[in-house]
Formats: sequence, structure tokens, C-alpha cells
Amino acid sequence: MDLPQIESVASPRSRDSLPPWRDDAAWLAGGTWLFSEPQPALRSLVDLSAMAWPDLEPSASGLRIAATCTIAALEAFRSPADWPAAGLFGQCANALLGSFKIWNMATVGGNVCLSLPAAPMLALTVALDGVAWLWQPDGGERFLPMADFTVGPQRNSLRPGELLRAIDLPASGLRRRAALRQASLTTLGRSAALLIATLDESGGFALTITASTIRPMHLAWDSPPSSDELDARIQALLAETWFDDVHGTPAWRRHMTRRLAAKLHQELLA
Amino acid sequence: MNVAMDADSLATLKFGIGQPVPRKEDPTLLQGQGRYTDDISLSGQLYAVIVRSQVAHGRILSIDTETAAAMPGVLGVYTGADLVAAGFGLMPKGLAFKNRDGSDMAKPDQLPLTTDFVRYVGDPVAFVVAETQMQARDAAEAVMVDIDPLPAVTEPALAVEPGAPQLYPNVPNNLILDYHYGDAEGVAKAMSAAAHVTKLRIRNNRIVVAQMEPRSAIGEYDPATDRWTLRLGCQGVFGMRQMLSSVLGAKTGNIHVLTGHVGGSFGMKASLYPEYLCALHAGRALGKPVKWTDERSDSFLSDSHGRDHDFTAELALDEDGKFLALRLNGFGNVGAVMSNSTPQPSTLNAVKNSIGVYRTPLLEVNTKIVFTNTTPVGPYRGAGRPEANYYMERLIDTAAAEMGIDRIELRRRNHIAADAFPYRTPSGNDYDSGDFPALLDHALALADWDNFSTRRTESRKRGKLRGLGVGQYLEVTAPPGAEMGGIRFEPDGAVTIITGTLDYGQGHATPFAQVLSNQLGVPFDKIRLIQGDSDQLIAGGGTGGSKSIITSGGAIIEASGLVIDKGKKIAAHVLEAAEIDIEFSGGRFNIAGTDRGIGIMELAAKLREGMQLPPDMPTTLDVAHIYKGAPSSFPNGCHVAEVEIDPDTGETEVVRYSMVNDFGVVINPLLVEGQAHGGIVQGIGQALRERVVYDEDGQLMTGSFMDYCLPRAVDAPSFAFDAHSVPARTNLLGAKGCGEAGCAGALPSVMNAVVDALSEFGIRHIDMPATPEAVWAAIAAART
Repeated sequence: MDLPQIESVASPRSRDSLPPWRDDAAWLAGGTWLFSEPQPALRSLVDLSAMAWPDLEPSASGLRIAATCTIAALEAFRSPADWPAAGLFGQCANALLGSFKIWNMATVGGNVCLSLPAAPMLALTVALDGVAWLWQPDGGERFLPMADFTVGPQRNSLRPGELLRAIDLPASGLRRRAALRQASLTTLGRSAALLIATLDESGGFALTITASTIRPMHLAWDSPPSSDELDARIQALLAETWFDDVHGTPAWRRHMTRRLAAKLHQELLA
Repeated sequence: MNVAMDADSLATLKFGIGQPVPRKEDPTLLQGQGRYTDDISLSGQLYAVIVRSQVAHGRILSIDTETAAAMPGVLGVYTGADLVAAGFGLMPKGLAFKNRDGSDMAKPDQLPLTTDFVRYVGDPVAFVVAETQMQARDAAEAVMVDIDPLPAVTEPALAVEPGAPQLYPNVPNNLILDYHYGDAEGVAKAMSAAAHVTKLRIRNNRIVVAQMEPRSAIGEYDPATDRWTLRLGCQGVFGMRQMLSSVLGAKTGNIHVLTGHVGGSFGMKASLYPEYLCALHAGRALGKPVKWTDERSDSFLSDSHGRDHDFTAELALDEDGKFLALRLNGFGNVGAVMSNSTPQPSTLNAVKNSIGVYRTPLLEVNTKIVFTNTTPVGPYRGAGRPEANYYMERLIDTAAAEMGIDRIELRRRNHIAADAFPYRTPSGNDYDSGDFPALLDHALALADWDNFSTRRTESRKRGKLRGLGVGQYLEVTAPPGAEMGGIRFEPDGAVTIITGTLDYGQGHATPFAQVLSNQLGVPFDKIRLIQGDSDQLIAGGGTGGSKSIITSGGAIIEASGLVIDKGKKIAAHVLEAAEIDIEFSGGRFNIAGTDRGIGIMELAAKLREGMQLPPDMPTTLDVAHIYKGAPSSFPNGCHVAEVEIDPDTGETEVVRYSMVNDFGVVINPLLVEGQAHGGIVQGIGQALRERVVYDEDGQLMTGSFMDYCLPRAVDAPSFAFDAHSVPARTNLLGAKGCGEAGCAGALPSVMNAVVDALSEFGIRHIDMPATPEAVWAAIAAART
């Protein structure tokens, strides 16, 4: 839909030309959410598409994913053979449940910054130890582990005026074996639980829980936990951790999380 | 032997009654050549977009249209006040019912577009007309509606509480109707004296209709003739014209309603909606045709929803398990605005259909019909019939479990016997035919009921629970009403049937042609159908309540008789014989006892050529007849569902499904089976998947197919289908309506199967939809 109350749209081509931050402004990337419902508080948009950031920058140290990288571009990425965890890209793109039209417009940064509990790009980047590269309005920058990026449903650690420039996925994360499990109340419905488990060569095991929790929960072990240890960690999560909406009650989500975690554990450690 | 006659006979057999003839329209529709309303583009056509309320309840403070009106391409921005000023009247008030104290039900005045309060999310408050769809959409977003929000209420039980938000000032406690039917004293005595009373609180979940074709309309007005024209998808143009007449304040002769292909309705498109009136108003105001087509997101809000009943059901039984009385107490949620069928589904149709196939001496139904701040609820595939059958069938399975009686045996003990017809039920229906015990046995055999334990054991080896459920239904269908039977012999040699039922996916053209071909011997391929042009109709009850083959079929039969009467007169002249000596058979008028005759098509051709006839002789074979209609029919059947449940996730899968139906005389078994399939899948959807959810503020939480789960092909197994037909005695064809039966059988059979699978946990009832979460929660609760 149109946002008729928008008074100005800036299209900066570089960081130097970013306009001063306004509280009634929003960063515009793909716009698939921004234009999906009225935004009565907004008067200004800053369109990031003209920044022309490279979508994906693989290097020896890992993969840099621009905030403006579309889901389609991420899904189409052909990873090096020693990055098995890159197989998650397609799985997480599918977990978005978007049509190809959405894939072609929606961005990784947009999905992450919206910070919905079921955001699959959050699950992906947290699971692979991603680090957010943030531009600050005073010209500075900071780096934030993706595990700390989201603090609750549609709430995150971005400060006013901060811009997510990119997310760096370290090569160590991409070299892990990984597996994903998803549960929904309905066939091809919204995720009620979305879990990713990873296992590195030294036996380090990590489980990232999203969709069933109000924010991504990243549980890690230096050596593979037993199934009981894994389950105990999940059960130890606070009751208020579990998300409640029309797609599932906290009790059912918790149960499904335990079940999916057990299956992931079995798959990676069998 | 006459070779030509032999070919005709073969054709008659091929397209005769009982033959599985594919639908005439299939090639057109399957090649994308259907002509739905939105496919029509008229010269100079403009486009309308509706502005809807984004809050569930509130007072309209202002509607600022100034900005929108100044936007490019915009030709008009209208509000409810504009429609009032233009002379548009109140929306139709639907059916009239009495409260239990004899007073009239509440019927608040409702304008096409509200001017004072909004009462649900999606309530239309204004509309914009522009040269293009996009311009209209852009401008609609610029219409500023200032609403002072008020508290909302979405649950009927809460809406009737003192202090609840009030939707209409003259409807205290939001109670439209306090409905009562039955012998309350007798039922109370039976309940208190019964050896056992089974009591269940049963929720019939609200669902979205989700037809494939969104609603669409094109409104026009011709000032030269003072004539309105409305093109739209609906369920009957004759009835729609009547409803329009009351709002427009125009004579029906000044209103022309046209309907082409319709992509599904299930009851929903029967109502008159505000958007149609908006298109007409703008069409007159701007002097050009104005098209409006809904978007799917708006359909979730603005198309009437289905079901949404909340009943406490009680069944009293004696020590032998014989039914003594049935009582239903509950609510019917009709949303914020009356539809044309309000409040029938949870009142009269609960009365008529809850008894089903069982001898039950006493019945009482008490329903509070309540306004809430939700989308209006209208008829949906069965409109109270599947709900009522569901209550009874759930009660029976529960009673059987509570009394330790086999659930099939309990049904057998209470069946209305095959020799009991005509049978008057406590609801006042006179069943004319059926063989319920034998039909049950037939269904059990088809479902391989006796070997279920083997399949259950096999499922258990895979860690799955397996359940088996039966749903034996009877629906009171085909509400009586007049219908047109028009037959016209066209200049090009075709024969046109004109009737006022309306096909919105059923395939009427084919079985109607089969009936006409059977009656007159007219070649099937020469037969056309006109159904969607109000100017062609002299009567028309529309389609709904599984009535079309009975009403239009009966109308065609009677009209055919009139064609034959006329034809005999003309044939007698042509054949130089006495009229009394003319017989009609196999499409030919013959002189009795001779081989001299003339075929009906040949006779029609001679008439077209201007054959000279005596002064008192009919000059055509054409007939425009009004059939007075037939009593209701009572289709019935037994569906057997088998489910597998993963106890760890609650995921439920329907793995086998069998059905035996009594649809009386079946005109076209291919189409009938298709109707059953569709109804069953909708039933499975309601039973296992679908639910409309509002939050406490009245916002729709399930407003897209991402949030609202329609059943998919993978959710249904292949169906075993068989018939156990007993011809109806109440109509000319002997047919019984089939359109809604799939839902009626699916809801109870699937849910009884689910409960059967869960019975080892002591679970006696679970409400629809049995989502994985609901099933898992029931198991978890039972385990603790």
C-alpha cells in the first residue's frame, strides 16, 4: 500500500550522503513489510537501494551479507564446498514462506531488523555466529553478535539512527554441519518453532531456537551434550521465554521445541 | 429399424438421467475462457475501491475525502451520507423470527455504508472511484477516517453480559433474537427421568468461506430508461433484483441483474453487500460503468464468515439406550451486521436437522442470536445443517462411551425404521423416504469396519494412534419455493432452458440438459442454459440449500409437459390427425398405432420456417412456466472416517474415508460425487484446520492464508463412494439434494474418529478444529 503521509524520501549513494536521522524516519530496503500496512508515525524514508552494496562478499574469513541483499540472492548463492552450513540459506529462505515476488524484494536486513520471533534470517545468522555491522549516526560503527541483536518480539538492540550495514558470517560457522527443523500448526504455515543445530569439527554443538521463543535463544556446548543435557537446557528456559500467538501456545511450542531439538541432536550426532 | 432413431436412442442413453456426463462448461473453464465478473470490461469503465474501518468498534468523527478527491484520475469519493442523499434506503432486514415471548426479533436499521459508528474491522465507510484501479487504490489510502475507538466484544457469551460494549442502541445486550423451539417442559421431564443424560459443550468454529473468485460487481445506470444494471457473481439474479429494489427504491422492472461464471460461493454470495450499491451509486453519479473487485485480504474481512455457534447439547436416554429427548442451548454469533439468512443457521436449521435419522420424541432448541464486533456471519455450505448433525453424532458417540454401549449398536437401536415413512419428527418435518439401518450397514462394509483393529495395530507399531468414526447425517434440504421452467426453441436450432437457480460451480447446465433431453428427446448438445439474466426470468429462487436439481429439475419437467401439450396440437395439424391420437415418445410425436410421426426438433424447425397454422393453434413450442415447487427433501448418508494421530505432535491425518449416500434419484453421478468430494474436504478443513481468530480488540488475527489454514489436497485421502438410494417421494425427479452433504458427513465422522483415537487417554470430546496443538494439549492434559 501507499504511505501517503510520507513527506520525503532520501536516496543516498554513500555513507557521507546519509541524511541526519529523524525519529519519524525509517530505513527502506525491500519494503515488503514497510509497505504492507499503514505507518502513521513515519514522515520520511531513507532508501538504501542506491547505496549499491554488494549483496554477498565471500572471503577466507567468511561471508559478508549486505543488509540489502535479497532473499532471492542469498538463496541463489553458490557456496564453497567446505561451507556445508550454507545449505541453510535455501532452507531459511523457504521458511520465510514468501512467493518469488517477496524473495526478489525482501532483504536479509529487513527480516532481521523487523525482529519477528519467526524471522528465518535471524535464525540463520544467530545459528552461524553472525555479527552485525552497524553504522552509527555519528559516523562511528559497532559490531554486535547476532545472538544479542534481538531482545523481544519486534524489539532489537538497534539504537536510534543506527543502520545495519551487513552481517558477517564467520567461516568457522559456515564450515559446521548444520540441520534445521521447523514446526507449524498448518501445512506450509507460519513457523511455530524453527530450530537450527550446528556441529563443528571439534565437537562444539549449538542449538538456536527461534519462532517458539520471544527472541532467538542460542545454546552452545564445547562438546556434544547428551540428549538429556540438551533437553534440560531447554526445559530450564524461563516460562516467559516462550512465545504466544495465534500460531501456537507457549506449552505446545515448548513441547515442539524439545521434540525438534531431540531430532536435530540425533541427526547431527548419530 | 430406423438407423437415425437408433442413433438418437443411443444419444439419449449416453446423456440420459443417471449418466456421468462431464460438465458442459469444463472445456471453457479449463482453458481459462470463463467469463467471471472481473473479466468483463465495459466501454468507459471506472474503478472503485472501498475504504474500510481498521478498528472493530468506534464512533466516526469525520471522513476527510478532500485529499483523495484531488488525486490524479479520481472522479468521485463517496460516503454513506452521499448514498442517503441519493435516496438509497436501508439494507434488507432478512428473515423474520419471533422471540420466545412472541415479540419480534430486533432488526436495527442498517445503511449500505455506515455513517455514525463502525462495528467491525472491514466495515465499509467510503469508496473512491477513479479512472484506473491503481488511482482508486492510491486515493482510497488518502481518505482519512477519524474514528474514536470504543471497546469491542467478539464473543457472544460476553456480548450479552451487562456492561458489554453495545453495537446498536436499540438492541439491548446485543441480543437480536431469544429463540425457542420445542416442548421445554416435556424435555425437562425427560431429562430428569432419564437413565442417562449426555451433555457436551460444543463449539462450531467460525470459518472463512475462501471461494476462489473474489466478489466483484459492475454498476451502471441508464438515465434514458431509468434503468440500473448490475453485473456480479451471486446465487440467483431474481432474488438479487428483489433485494436491490428495496434499497434503490426502484421497481424490479427497472433493475437488470446479470451473472456470468461464478467461482464459488457456498452461500456467501447470496447476500446483498454494500459494495454492489456503491458501484451502482457511482455508476449513476458519474454516468459510466463502475467496477469493484475485492482483494483477497479484504475478502477475509468483508465476505460473510460461516458457522460460529456455541451450544451445550444434551441427549437423554433410557436404560436401553433409547433416545428420549434432545436439547440444545447456546449462541449464534452473527457478527456486526445482519446477512440475508440471519438468524436461520443456529435456530431453525438447528431444529430441523439435529434429529437426523434417529427416533427422538422430544426436542428443544434455545438460541441467543447475538451481535458482536466481528465480520458478519452468513450461510456457508449447509448453513446450520452440518452443525446440527454434528451435535447429534457427537452426543451419540459420547453417550455410547458413557453407557458402555457399542456406538454402532446405539445408532441401530434408535434408527427410524425403513417402514416408518412417512415419519413426522418433533421438528415438524415429514420424512418421506430412507433406509437408515441398511445404509449404515452398507457404509460399514464399504469402510471395512470389522477389520479396523488390524489397521489400528499396524498404526500402533509405527507409534501412531488410529481412530475410526462414523457420521450418519440427514439434512433437510431444498427449501420450498417457486421456480421458472422456461424452454425456448431458438432460431439456430438450439433449445434453451431458462431457470432461476444459479450455478456457481455445480455444473447445472449438464444435469438440467440431461433432464430436458430425457423429457423431450432433445439432443443434449443442442441444449443451452440461461440462468443469470434477470430480464429473462419470471420467477427464480436462486441456488442454495441443495435445491437446484429439485426445483429447476421439477420446473423443467413441468415445462416439458407443456411443450408436449403444445406440440401435440401442432403435430396433429401437421400429420393431419386428431390431437387425441398423437402420442409423444422418444422425442417424436406419433399417430398412435402407426409409424407416422414427426420429431420435436423437426417440428420446431417447421415452426421457425413459418408454417401456416389454424388461428387457435400455438405458433411456437416455447414455454415460460412457473413451477410451484416441491417440499423439502431429506438426503442422508453415512460417512466413515479413519484418522491417524501422532501422539507426540498431535498431528492428525485422515487416512481412509468412505461414504454411502442416499441422494434419491441421481441425475449425474459424476457431478454428485464431485459435490460430495468438495464438501468433505471443506468438512475436513473445518474439523482439523480452519478457524477464525480475533484478538480482544476485534482485530482479525487470521487474515491471510499464511495465518488461516485451508485444507490442501494432501489433507484428504482418496474417497470410497457408494450410493444407497431410495427415491424421494416428494418431488418429480425423486432426487434429494447433495450439495451440502459432504460437510454434514465429514464433521462428525472425522471428529468422532479423532475422539476414538484419543479414547485410550479417557478423552471424550475435543472441539474443532483438532489442530496439532489442540490434540497434543488434550493428550497432555489427560496424562496429568
